[in-house]
Amino acid sequence: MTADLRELSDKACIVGIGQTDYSKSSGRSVQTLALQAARAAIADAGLKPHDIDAILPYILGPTADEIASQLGISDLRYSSIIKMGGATFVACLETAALLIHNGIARNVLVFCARNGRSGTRVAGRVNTIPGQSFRRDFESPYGFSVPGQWYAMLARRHMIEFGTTREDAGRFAVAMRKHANLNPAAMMRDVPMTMDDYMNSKPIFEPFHLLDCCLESDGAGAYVVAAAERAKDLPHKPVFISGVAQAKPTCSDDLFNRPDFFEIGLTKAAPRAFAMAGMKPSDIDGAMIYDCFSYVALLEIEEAGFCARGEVGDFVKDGRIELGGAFPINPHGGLLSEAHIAGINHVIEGVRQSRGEAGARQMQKAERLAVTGWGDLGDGALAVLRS
Amino acid sequence: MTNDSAKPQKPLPDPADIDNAAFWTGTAEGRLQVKRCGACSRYHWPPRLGCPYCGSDQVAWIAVDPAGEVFSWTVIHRSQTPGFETEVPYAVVLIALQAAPGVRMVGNLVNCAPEKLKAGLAVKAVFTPAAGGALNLVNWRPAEQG
Repeated sequence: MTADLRELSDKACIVGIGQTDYSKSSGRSVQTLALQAARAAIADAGLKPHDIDAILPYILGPTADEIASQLGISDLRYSSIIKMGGATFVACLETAALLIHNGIARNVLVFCARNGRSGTRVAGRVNTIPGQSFRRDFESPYGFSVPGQWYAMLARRHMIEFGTTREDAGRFAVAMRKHANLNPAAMMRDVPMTMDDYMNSKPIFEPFHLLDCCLESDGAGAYVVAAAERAKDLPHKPVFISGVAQAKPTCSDDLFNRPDFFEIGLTKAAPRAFAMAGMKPSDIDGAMIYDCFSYVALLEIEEAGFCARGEVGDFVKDGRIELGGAFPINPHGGLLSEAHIAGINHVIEGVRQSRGEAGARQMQKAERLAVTGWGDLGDGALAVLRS
Repeated sequence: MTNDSAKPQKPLPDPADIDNAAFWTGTAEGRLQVKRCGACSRYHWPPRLGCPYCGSDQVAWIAVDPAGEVFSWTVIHRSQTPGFETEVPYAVVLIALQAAPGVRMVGNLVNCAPEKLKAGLAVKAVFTPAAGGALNLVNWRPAEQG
């Protein structure tokens, strides 16, 4: 019997966010990027670096030790790597809330820094993915060796079973670009994109075409989590972690042999996170959906419970997921059109929207937001943020 | 003249990995094997040392009919796998084995244009020598070719 998750609900808040510029070539080391984002998040929280007593870094990039040592943090009480790929930065909200609620730490710093374009490219992370001997023996010898190719296999099957179309994925991709065009920090802020551009983009791993694929980015993001009771004395409107859960799908070391082919971590994590928050998917005003590929975001929308499985094609029609629509998704432009900072940028945008500080791309209502993560071979996490 | 030594080498399985060695012994003899659980009787893939469904350690290799149908596929136009850069476009297929419910295997489509792929297409295994004949990979061709 697990503890009543409701006990952890609303006990911790995201109190600070920070980011660098996002670009194709930062001209700085990942250490510099990490420190810039971390300092910005700590300052935004109204704290000093020595107030930080726990750090959760990404599996790639600077370590907690290195960042603590360069921020003058002399008593780091806790650090660990949450290994959930692109679901890491949503899952870290759970760890941070647990640390705080149980008195292990008071102020938790979470960060991600990468030269994902100019340095190690995004697909270079594959050697951290589980089931390496399976990939080596039964996949890579067939010229099938990067996540986009693996996820394309899921997308094709979704098209076969449910009649999902390229236009459906295109509606998602075009919405991301429209949003990015309103976001001064987005790498694609000045690059418009039409449905024709999308349909005519080059095939990469069919059904994925170029404009289904995320950006590769240099940059960093960070956030700070503190106890709800302390958050009210800090400078910004607190953003409560009302619900959060992470989950592994059945056999998370292989993507293709699950009894339920479309089961992902989110399938299990989402109901737990909503239960913890005491909410239903229909209570949510909008979402930040981890969009490494447009089709992957479509799968997540279904498994998170925002529509039934097989119905996402209808869900994304008629501007529903665009700003001004009934359920805006990724007002920052997502990984497809803002930047690929491993999804920490989705948490940051969730906070910015919750605070009402998103400027031209501010959602009309952002009191209850969901943030999702997708990692490796379908790892998943979902957080419900309340302001 | 092409200089073979300068060509990027395709990744190869490691037949010396003791956990999967029996699979390569099988393919060398034209047999396709998967793992089956002695406790719950379910087949599984990729091959593990314990049953992913019931947790039993009574799992063993078993030869199955090397036939199945296309469950899904992707056509790769830009390959990031060494040695495959010049082979684009090529199809990677996910094959549901007829004789081993629940098993889906990755391979290349051979003897067939990618445009002819469709869900449910019946296929048979083709054992393709690799590593200079040191082992056989498992690829797939349309069954209607006999």
